[in-house]
Amino acid sequence: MSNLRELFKSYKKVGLPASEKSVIRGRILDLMQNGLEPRRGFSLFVFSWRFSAPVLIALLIIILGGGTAFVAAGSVPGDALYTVKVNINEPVKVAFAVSASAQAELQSKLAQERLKEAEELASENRLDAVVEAAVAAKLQTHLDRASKEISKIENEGKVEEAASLNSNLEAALQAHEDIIVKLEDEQRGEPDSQNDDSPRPSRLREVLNTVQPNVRSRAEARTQSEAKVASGLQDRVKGAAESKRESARNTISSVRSYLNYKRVKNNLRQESKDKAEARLAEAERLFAQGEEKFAVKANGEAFVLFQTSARVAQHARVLIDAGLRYGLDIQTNLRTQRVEGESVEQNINEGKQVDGEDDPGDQSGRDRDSGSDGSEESHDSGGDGGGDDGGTLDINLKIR
Amino acid sequence: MADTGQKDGAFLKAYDDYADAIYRYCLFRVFNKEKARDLTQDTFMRTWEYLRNGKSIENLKPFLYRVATNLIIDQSRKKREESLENLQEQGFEPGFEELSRIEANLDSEQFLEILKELDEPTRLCLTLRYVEDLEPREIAEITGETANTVSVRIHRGIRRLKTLIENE
Repeated sequence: MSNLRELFKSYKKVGLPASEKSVIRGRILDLMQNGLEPRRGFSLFVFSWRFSAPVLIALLIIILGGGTAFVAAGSVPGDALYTVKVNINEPVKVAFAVSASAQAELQSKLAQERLKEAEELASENRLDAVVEAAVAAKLQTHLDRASKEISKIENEGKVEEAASLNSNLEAALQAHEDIIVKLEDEQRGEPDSQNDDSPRPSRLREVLNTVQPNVRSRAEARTQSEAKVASGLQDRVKGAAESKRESARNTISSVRSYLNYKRVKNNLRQESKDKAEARLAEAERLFAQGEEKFAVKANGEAFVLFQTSARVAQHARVLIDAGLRYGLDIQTNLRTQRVEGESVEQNINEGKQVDGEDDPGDQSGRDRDSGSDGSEESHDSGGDGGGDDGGTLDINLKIR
Repeated sequence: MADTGQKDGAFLKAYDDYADAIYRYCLFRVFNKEKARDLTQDTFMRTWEYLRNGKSIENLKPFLYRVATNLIIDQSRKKREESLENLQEQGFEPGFEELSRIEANLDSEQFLEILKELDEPTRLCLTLRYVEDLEPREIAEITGETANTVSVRIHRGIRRLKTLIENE
C-alpha cells in the first residue's frame, strides 16, 4: 500500500511546464485587464506539435545550439535566417512577454528592429518596394500593439510608466525618422532635389510615411501622460519626479559613457561626435533646469524636464549608433526647444539643407562598426521626455 | 480600483497555486498534454468570467475542478464531431506516454498503464486522493457524489489496483 502511495506520488511532479504556465498566466491577465477573448490554441508557440518539420528542426537548433537564434537576430529581410528571426525568435519573445509593460517595451523594440532592417537594406541599396511594404506593415503592427499596451498601462493608473514608455518610443521613432531622412538624402545624391517624384523614387518613403504620424501620435500621447502625472496627488508627483530624476541621470551618464567608449570614439566621425556632444550638453542643461524646479517643489515641471532630458540623451544614443552603422551625420528634428509655428516640413527641409552641406565626405566616411550593436539602444530604463507644460517652461514641445 | 486589483491578485494567486493540479486532473482524464493544457487555460478563463459577472465563489478550488470537469465532458462530446481532415491537420498527437517517459521512471509508466484500466470515476477518485491529497469530502464536492460514495470508490479502487498489479 505504501508502495502504491509512492507510485501515485510520483505523478505529483507532473505539472504544467513552467513556460506554458506563464503563457497561460499572461493570457489570463490579458483577459482580466482587457476582457478580450483569448487566442485559442498554441499554434505560435514552441511547444505546439502542429509545427511543420522545418520549423521544428529550426527550433531544435535554437534550443540545443542557441547559436542560430543569436545569429538570426542580426539578419535582415532576404537573409536565410530572417525567417527564423521573425517567425521564431520574435514570436517566442512576444509569447513570453507577459505583463503589459513587458509587451509594450518588446513591441517598441520590435518596431525599432523593423526600422533598423529597412535602414540597413536601404543603406546597401538592397531595399525593394515589396520588402519595404512588408516592413512598413510590420512596423505599423508593432506600433499599434505598443500603443494599445501603453494605453492599457495608463488606464490602470500607472501614468508614470505610460509617460516613460511613450517618451522612450517617441525618442526612438524620432531618431529613426532623422536617420531615414538622412539616408534618403544620400540616396538621392542631391540633398535638396526639387522634384520628389523623380523617376527613381526614393527608398524608405513608405517607411517614413509610417514613422512620421507615429512620432506625432507618440508625442501627443506622451504629453497627455505627462499631464496626468503632473495632475496627480502632490506626494505621488514628487515621487514620480524623484524617480525620473534618477533614471534620467542614469540615462544621460550611460549615453555619455557610451560616447566615450574607445570603439565608439574611434569609429564615429568628428561631426557626429560633436553633434552627440551637443545633444548631451542639451540633455544636461535640461536636467539642471529640472533640478531647479525640483528644488522649488515644482514637481510636475521637474518631472517633464527630467523626462525631456532623458529623451534627448536617448535620441542621441540612437543617432550615435546610426552614425556608427551608416557613417551618417544626422541632423535632428527632436524638439526640445520652442518651435512654435514651424511646420514639420520646414523642419525636415531645413535639416536636409544643413545635411547637404556636410555631405560630400559621407560615403567615404562610411564606417560600419559591426561590433556596435544597435539593439540595446533606447531601452534604457529611464528616460524620457519632456513636454508641453505651458508657458513656464522654456521647453515647449509644439507637437507637430 | 483597489478592490478590482485585489480581486485580480487573488485570482492570479489561485492560478499560480492550482494550475498544476488542474492540469494533472485534466491530464488524467484526457491523457493528452495539449488538450490538458488548453483545458487548464479554459478552466481559469471561464472561472474568471464567472467571477467578473459579479458572482461569488465560496471555495475556489473545488469550483475549478468542477469547471474543468464540465469542460472535459464538453470536449469529449465535441470530439465526435471532429472531421477526419481536422484530425490529420493536427498531426500525430504524442500522448501521455511521451510525458511519462520524460517525467517518470519505468515503474510509474507501467503503473500508468494499469491506472488506465480502471474505470474513470475510480481513477479520478484515486488520483485526487493520492496525487492531490484531497479528502474524500473534498473529492465529493468536485464529483458531485457523496463523501461516502467516494470513500467506497477509493477503497474498491485500491483493491482492484492491487489485483491488477499482482497479475502483471
